[in-house]
Amino acid sequence: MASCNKKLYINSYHELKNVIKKIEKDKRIFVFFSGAKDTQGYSWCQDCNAIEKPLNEIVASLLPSNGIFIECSVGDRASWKDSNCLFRKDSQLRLTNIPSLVEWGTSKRLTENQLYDPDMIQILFEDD
Amino acid sequence: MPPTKDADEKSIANLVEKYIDENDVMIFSKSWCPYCKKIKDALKSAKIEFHSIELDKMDEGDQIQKELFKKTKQETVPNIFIKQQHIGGCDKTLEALKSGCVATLLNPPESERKHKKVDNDDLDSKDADEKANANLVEKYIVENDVMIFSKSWCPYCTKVKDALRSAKIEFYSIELDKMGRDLSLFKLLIYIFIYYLAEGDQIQNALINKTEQDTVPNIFIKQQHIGGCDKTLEALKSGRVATLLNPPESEKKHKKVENDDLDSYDYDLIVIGGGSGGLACSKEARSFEKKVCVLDFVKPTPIGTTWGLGGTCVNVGCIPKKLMHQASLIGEYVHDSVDYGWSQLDQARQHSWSKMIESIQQYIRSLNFKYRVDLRSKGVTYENSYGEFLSPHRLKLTDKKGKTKEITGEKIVVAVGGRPKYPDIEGDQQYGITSDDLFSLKYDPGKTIVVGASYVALECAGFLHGIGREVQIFVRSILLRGFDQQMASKIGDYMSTIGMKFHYQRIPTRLECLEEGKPGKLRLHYRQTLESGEIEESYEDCNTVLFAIGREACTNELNLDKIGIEVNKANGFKIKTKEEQSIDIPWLYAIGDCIDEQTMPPGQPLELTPVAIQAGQLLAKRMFSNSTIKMDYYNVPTTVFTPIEYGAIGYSEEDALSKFGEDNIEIFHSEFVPLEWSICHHRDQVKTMSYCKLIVDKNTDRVIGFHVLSPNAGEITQGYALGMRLGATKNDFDMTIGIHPTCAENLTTLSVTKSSGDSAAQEGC
Repeated sequence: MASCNKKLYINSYHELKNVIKKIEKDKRIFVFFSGAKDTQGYSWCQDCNAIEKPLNEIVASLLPSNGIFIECSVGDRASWKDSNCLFRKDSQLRLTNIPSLVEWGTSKRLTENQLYDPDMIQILFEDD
Repeated sequence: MPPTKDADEKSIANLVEKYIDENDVMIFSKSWCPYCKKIKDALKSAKIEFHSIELDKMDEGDQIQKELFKKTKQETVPNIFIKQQHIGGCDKTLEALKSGCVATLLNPPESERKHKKVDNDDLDSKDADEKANANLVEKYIVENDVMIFSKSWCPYCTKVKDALRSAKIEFYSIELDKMGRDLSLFKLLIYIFIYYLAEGDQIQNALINKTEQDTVPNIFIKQQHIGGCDKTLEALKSGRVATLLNPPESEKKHKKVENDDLDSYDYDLIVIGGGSGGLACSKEARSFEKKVCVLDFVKPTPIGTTWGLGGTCVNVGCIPKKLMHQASLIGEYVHDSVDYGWSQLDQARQHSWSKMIESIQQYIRSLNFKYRVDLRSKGVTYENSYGEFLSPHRLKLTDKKGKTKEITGEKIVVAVGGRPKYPDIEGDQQYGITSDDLFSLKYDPGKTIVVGASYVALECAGFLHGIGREVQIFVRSILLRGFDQQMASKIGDYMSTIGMKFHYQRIPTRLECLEEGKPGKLRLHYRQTLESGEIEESYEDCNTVLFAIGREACTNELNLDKIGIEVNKANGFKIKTKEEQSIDIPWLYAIGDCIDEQTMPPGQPLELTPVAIQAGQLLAKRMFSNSTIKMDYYNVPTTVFTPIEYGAIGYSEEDALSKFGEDNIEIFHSEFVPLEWSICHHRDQVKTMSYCKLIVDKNTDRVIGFHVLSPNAGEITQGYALGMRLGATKNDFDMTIGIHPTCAENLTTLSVTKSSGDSAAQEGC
């Protein structure tokens, strides 16, 4: 896969799992979950709309060199609110709210207002 | 001299008085009297001790009965007195029992007790009196520059008072002969924290205890005991009194620390150390909107191990320890499974060290992250830097890259905790590891020698054995120093029985590496004192040597000397504190493992996470609000997570015996078999090793020591800790209904005492 492009857009749970499988083991994967966007690029999730630009700026400046940033849509409102939503049911992910930024493969995550705080994002990106 | 009628009556009256005075519950009885029997039975059921004399069996029986009628207008028996109060006959006493009046007489009510609770030991009322008097005396001495314990009619008291007046020296005196109930009540209302009605005599006794001087005047100047009239006059003449009242310049310099206050500070509070205590304290301080900074930095171990925010407990202590203990318990359950009908689990049983480490470390990392986010969201500034004092209130911070900066704090809390010690032998740091390394060790430790007999040593040895590694333990002298030794030796017995090898009187002398590797091959040379007294030098080969010989506070490199605080090896480099405040510097505080706290019970240092957390929170409240709630270090429950767990609250048997005396305590105990083990063949040899005991203060029936050795002792002990905190008596334990079938219920059915010599083995269900 194209390693120069660090940002990926994913639209479904299965696509997410497939893409992640193919990523090199030495990379750290950060996934940003938000509501699906319409043709104008607006999400049904207001918080997600608000956070998008500031978050992208922060990520652009702070993402570690071995980090991959994936934006993943959890679907339309109905799909997300459904308790059977695959993102909710995944045993490791167990997503409960959006917008959320998660380091894949760990239990580290930030949600909602935390995402406005560059220091919080920095804590997430910090290497152990 | 022929006995006259008067002499007879007088001596009988005295005899009766003596019986009444000397016994809390006194029954004048007759052996054939059914009412006497009735009341005695009732008292026995209520577990109330009494003394009775059978008047029909005594020569002076009739005369005593007459004297009782004179005294009480009651001519019948039983005639009963409780704490020198006349109660009456059988009916009246039964009523008093029922209404709680008897209990109240024997155990004075809460409000009085609370104030006698000077150091939270529940002593009998006589001791409590003594303590209250001692405290009253202290208060007089502390609050008055010149304090004279005097008697109004004493000429020497008058003499010294005149002399002081002439010298225009102000003094405060109390007249011990005038201290009866009314006067002292008024005086004591001024000193409101002791409502106990002091008698002048008892104050004089307290003074004797303190100074060995039994006369008045007894004089203290600036809390220094001077002596009586002559000594004080001499001190006046020699100028010593003047010197005491006005200390010279050089002594005053010490107090100049307060003049080191700065005009402004970067932070209201700096906490050095981001462990259990430090984090709790800093977060609590934020609730008062103070500007708070936490410094946390982990100096890597000799082999390079390091970890994230959270301190010892989270990274290299309680958390990984308990998870590994659980790993070993699961190994044991697999052995048990056969008898429960599971097949093939036992054969398929194998343990992967790296998988266990991976799971545990992942969890620890999530905690490190959680704490980082928590501090940030609560507005606590976090610096991943090493802090050292430059001068009062000022710290130099050095980060991982060596970059430095300075910050100042109006109040500073040292919460740096401790680190494991090395034995200072050749090769120790190079080839040996400690608990700091064990919980993240990247390779299987293989055959391990654990050096030490601390709870860390035994817990680590325990779980290493439980997950299938060969373990030997080198013990210098005794197991679990500071803990109840009977329980310690039972733990040792259990661990040996399940296959761990203990080597006593064995001290390591040199650690050699035979072969590098992960793990490598090591040779630990040692010196062994044999039973004959001979010293043998030999060695043992292994893959890993784990040193667990004790811990020391990390205060050595803080530059505490720059602010006038000394620490030394004798007490593990701990900072001396009183109520978590430095005894030398008022703006410097300390909590957690690094402190030597005056209000802690002597003997057993309470290096525990919940203690540090609560101390930190209460301290923050006292620093930044008008809270006066102090940390209570008594009856703190603890548990050692050895393969058979040991939970304890309160006094060990040794401490109880030395503090209260053999005659004043009763020990109830029992062995028992955990039901879950009773059908497991693989537990045959250890089935009966579970054990519990309660140490009871005979005079108050209060349980002062709780000990249980069994599976899940940690969970059991936490529950009972609440009862201990509320002052539970043996009767409370007995009246608590057990839950069946559990191990914990055994504490509610203890009837065999150590003193009876009867077997403590359990009989049936």
